[in-house]
Amino acid sequence: MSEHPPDYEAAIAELAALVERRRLPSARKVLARVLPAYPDDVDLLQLAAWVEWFDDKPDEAYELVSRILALDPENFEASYLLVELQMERQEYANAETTVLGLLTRYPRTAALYSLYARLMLMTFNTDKAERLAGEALRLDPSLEDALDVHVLAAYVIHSAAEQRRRLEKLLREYPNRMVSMVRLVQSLLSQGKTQQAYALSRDLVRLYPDNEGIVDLARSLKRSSHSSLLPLWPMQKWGWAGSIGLWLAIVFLLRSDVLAMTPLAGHENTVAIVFLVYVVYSWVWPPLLGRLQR
Amino acid sequence: MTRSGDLSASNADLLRPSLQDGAVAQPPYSVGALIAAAFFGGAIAVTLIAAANARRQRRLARDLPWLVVTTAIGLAIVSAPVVVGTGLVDPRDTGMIRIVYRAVGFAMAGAFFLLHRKAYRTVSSLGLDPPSPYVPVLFAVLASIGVAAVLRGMLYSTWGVPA
Repeated sequence: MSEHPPDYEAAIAELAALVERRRLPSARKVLARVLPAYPDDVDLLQLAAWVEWFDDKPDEAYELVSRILALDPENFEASYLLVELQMERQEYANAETTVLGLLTRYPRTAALYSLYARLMLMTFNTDKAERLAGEALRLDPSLEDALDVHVLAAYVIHSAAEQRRRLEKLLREYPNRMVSMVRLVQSLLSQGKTQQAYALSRDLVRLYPDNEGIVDLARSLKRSSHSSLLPLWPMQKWGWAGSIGLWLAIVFLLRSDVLAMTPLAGHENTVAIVFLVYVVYSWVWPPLLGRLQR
Repeated sequence: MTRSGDLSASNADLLRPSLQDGAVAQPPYSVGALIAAAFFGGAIAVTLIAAANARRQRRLARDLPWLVVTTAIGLAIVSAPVVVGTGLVDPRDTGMIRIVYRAVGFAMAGAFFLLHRKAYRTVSSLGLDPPSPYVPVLFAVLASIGVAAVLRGMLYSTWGVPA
C-alpha cells in the first residue's frame, strides 16, 4: 500500500505523462502545485530535474540532481541525468567516472552503454563509441539512443552504404521520432539534396515548434536555399573544393592566353574586378541574409 | 573460451577509462581556417594551423612526420625560385610565386583535412562548434610571411637578387 495520499500519486502519474510528451509548461504548473507539499520527495525532484533538462535549463537541472543525490546517493535516474549534465558542461572526465560507476552497478543496462558511447563520440573516441553502441544494441536491439549513436558513428567511420543501412534501421524502428527525422535531414544534406532537406526541416518545425535546434536548422536551410544564393552553387555543391576550383579557374583565365581568344580580350581587369566582387559577395551576403531572416 | 567469457573480456576492455588523464580531444579549427591560412599565408601557415589541430586532437606525435614534410615543402617553395629557378616559375614573377605557394597550400589543406577527416565528420555530425579561427589564422599568416621574408633575405644575401 502506498504511503502517499492519492493526490500525490495522481500528480506523479500526470507529471510523468507530461514530461514524456514534453508538455513542459503544464508539467511546471503541476510541480508548482505539488512540490511545496513534498519538497524532499526524490520522485518529484527527479521529474522536476527532467523538466529543467528538457527545457534547456541545465544549471537548474544540475541543482536538482545534486539535491536528489544528497538525499539518495545511489539514485539511478539522477546519476544518469548527472552524466548528461556533465557532458553538457564539458566535464567529460567526470561524466566518464559517473557513467563507469553506473555501469559497474548495472552492467547489463543497454542505455548506459549507449550513454557512454555518446560521451566517447563527443570526445572523438569514435571507434570505442561504435563498439559501445554495438554492445548497447546487443543488449537491446531497438534502443533508440543506441541506434542513433550507431548512425552517427557510421557517418564518421563507415561508407555511405553502411550509413544508409543504419539510418534505415533507425527510421524503421522510430519512423516518427524527431531524432530519426533530424538524421534524415543530415543525410539528405550530405548528399547535396538541400531542397528536400529544407522541406523535411519545415515539417520538423511544425512538429516541434519549441525546439531551438530544429528551428535553427530549418532557418539555416532556408538561407541555403534562398534564390539570392544561387550564384554560389559551386560552393554549396562542392564546399571548399568548389571555392578552390573557382579560384584556380580565374587564375588560369587571367594568366593564360585563353581570355585573348574570347570576346573578353583586353578586359582582364574587368574580369578580375567582377571576380573580386563575387568573392566579397560570397563572404558578406550569406551571413547578412541570415541576420535579415531572423 | 565460453561466449560469456568473451563478452566479459570485451566489456572489461570497453569499460576501461579513456578520459582520466585529463586528455580530452577538442574540435579542430574548421576547414575554412585551413583554406584561409592557405590563401593568405600559403603552405607554412597551413602547416601551423594543422599543427594546432593535431595538438587539439591530441595526435601531435602521430602527425609530426607529416608536419615536418609540409614544413620542408613550404620552405622549399619559398626558397626554390630564388636558389635555382624552376623553369616553371620565373623568380622575378612574384605573382606566379604567390599562386604556386597558394596552390600548394590548398593541396596541403586538403591533405590535412583527409588526415583529420574523422574529427571533421564528428564535428559536423554532432553539430559541435569549432573554435574561433581568427587569432590563430592571423598568427599563422603573419608567421609564414615573417619566415618567408627572413628566408628570402638570407638567400638573397647569399645568391644575390635575381636580375
